[in-house]
Amino acid sequence: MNERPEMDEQIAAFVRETVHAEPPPDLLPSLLDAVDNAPPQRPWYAGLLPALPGAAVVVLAVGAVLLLWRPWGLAEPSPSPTPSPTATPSVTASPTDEPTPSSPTPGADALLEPGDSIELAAVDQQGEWGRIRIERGEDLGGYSDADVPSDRFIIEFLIDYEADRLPDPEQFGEPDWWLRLTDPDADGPFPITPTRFDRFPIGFRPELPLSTFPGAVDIFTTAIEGRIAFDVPRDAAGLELALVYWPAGLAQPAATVLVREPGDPPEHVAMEEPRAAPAPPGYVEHPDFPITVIESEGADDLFSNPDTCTNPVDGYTVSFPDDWYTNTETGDVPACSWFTPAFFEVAQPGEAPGEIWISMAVMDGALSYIGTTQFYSDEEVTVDGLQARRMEYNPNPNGNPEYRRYHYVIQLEGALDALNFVAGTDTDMADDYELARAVFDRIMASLEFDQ
Amino acid sequence: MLVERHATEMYRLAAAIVGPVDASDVTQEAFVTAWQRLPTLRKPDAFPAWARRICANRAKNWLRSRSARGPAVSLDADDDLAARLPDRTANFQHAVEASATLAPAYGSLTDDQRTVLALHYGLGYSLAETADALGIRVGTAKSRLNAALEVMRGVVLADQGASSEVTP
Repeated sequence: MNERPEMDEQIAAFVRETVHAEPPPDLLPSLLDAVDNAPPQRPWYAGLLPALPGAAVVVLAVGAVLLLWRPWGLAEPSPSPTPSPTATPSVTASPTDEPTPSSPTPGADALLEPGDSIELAAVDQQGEWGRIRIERGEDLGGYSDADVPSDRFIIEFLIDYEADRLPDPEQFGEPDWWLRLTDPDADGPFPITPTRFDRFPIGFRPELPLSTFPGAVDIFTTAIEGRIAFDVPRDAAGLELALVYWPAGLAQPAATVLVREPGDPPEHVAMEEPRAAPAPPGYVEHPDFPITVIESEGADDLFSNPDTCTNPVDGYTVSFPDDWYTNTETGDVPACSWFTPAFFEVAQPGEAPGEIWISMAVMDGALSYIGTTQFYSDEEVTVDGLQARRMEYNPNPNGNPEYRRYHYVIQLEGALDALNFVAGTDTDMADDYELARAVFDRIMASLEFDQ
Repeated sequence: MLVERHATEMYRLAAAIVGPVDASDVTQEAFVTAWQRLPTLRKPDAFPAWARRICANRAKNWLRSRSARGPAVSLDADDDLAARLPDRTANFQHAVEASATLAPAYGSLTDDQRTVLALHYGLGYSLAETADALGIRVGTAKSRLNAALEVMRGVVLADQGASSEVTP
């Protein structure tokens, strides 16, 4: 006798009734009005329209905002990149008839060579809310782990915010920056916004993207730093380029800094096949396993007399501690997909109970780790003769910095956009994450595919 | 238009997390944020999921700020059912009318548990969609859902036990 489905339906009905809400009649007008009155958008918006048809629809709804837009028509503050800390930046756009871009002055405030750095005031509508340190990175012909077209090159900057208070509006970060030509008459697809490079697997480059920080970020305890990369046409290498800081809510840029003088672009760097980073510490050769595993007496004890299970759907067999539990087929989940030291019951077919420490599945399609992902280890291993990667990372260190995820990804068809075997554990799943990792290594070391 | 197309869904998502009283404000904040951050969205077809996440984030922030504004009402205050609801469910007073049995249990869930329950059962999101909107793993969503269900089931069982005691 199982009362759970009936009980759960009773609960579901209650929740449906409880959360059901019809929007008030004035919701849509109030939304349009709110968006209409949002702080002015910045010039790079126009450059995105061809690639972002959805945005164009919104533009129609907020035409008034666009009236504030003039690519170079807004009078900029002093060429000095540091706004007065006491000044309150204008929030009312004052378009002028003629483009009057400021010309950043080379010298102490310029960022022309890798390693050059300056400090700016972080400003919002109220004035200064903190400081920003900017360090000039390299001009790069591309990345070995990301695809940069051969007609583009990269200019990198490292940005580091130090906050005294929350900015207003609270959002800041990557969207506040872009690159422009200092010559308003020159042609080119400028201004340029920072580019995010989606890579698989990331981990070769330890730098974090700068990202965007909404109000939820605790600016007083969170490191607010990262790298921004601009994807620049190579034929613009002969032009003078400036970095522009234009925070949300301001009607005009807060600072403009000369960052590149005319010169040859770096030689193009083509994307390479992923290569492994050095093996992280803690792994040891083990006489019982064909790959290195995390050193753990506890895990070795658990594997002294292992059990085995087979996933007949995905076609693999693994060993696991005989004190542990695995699943039989449930819903769409084949047998031998979940592992845990705790007895568990499946409440809903196909849905993993909270007791599961380790899960594995075969997935069709490319995988990518983007955005703020922070990798702590990333190495190439061979599992049952197949190329695999194992990595430990936190996909959102700005959210929960203590969170860790430990994954193996095996290319089953020799390509990332085909079938992949993905298995992992994390600090949310496992009560003892370190033990889970060590046991997981041993399970993976025992993995054998049918064919 | 983008706003028209997604306004109702965003409102219902906000209402599921913070309750209908404040849902309009949260929806408005979410749309303004989405509008301001639209240039950072590189794949237009990702807008619905992206907007859901922004809305859920704004709603969670709103819950946090509400929690910070004042302590929850003690469960020991036994004057009436509404008074026994923790403060975080103050906007779900109609839940009291919906079910005198389940409402207190619903109110006693953590914000995280209640949010997963609301999105999954209340709005019909799949667990993957729920996890995506909340920026958590599917496994975490499952764990929270199971924990929430355990609390709610316990109340149903206790209620059934009480009924059977008085109904020979």
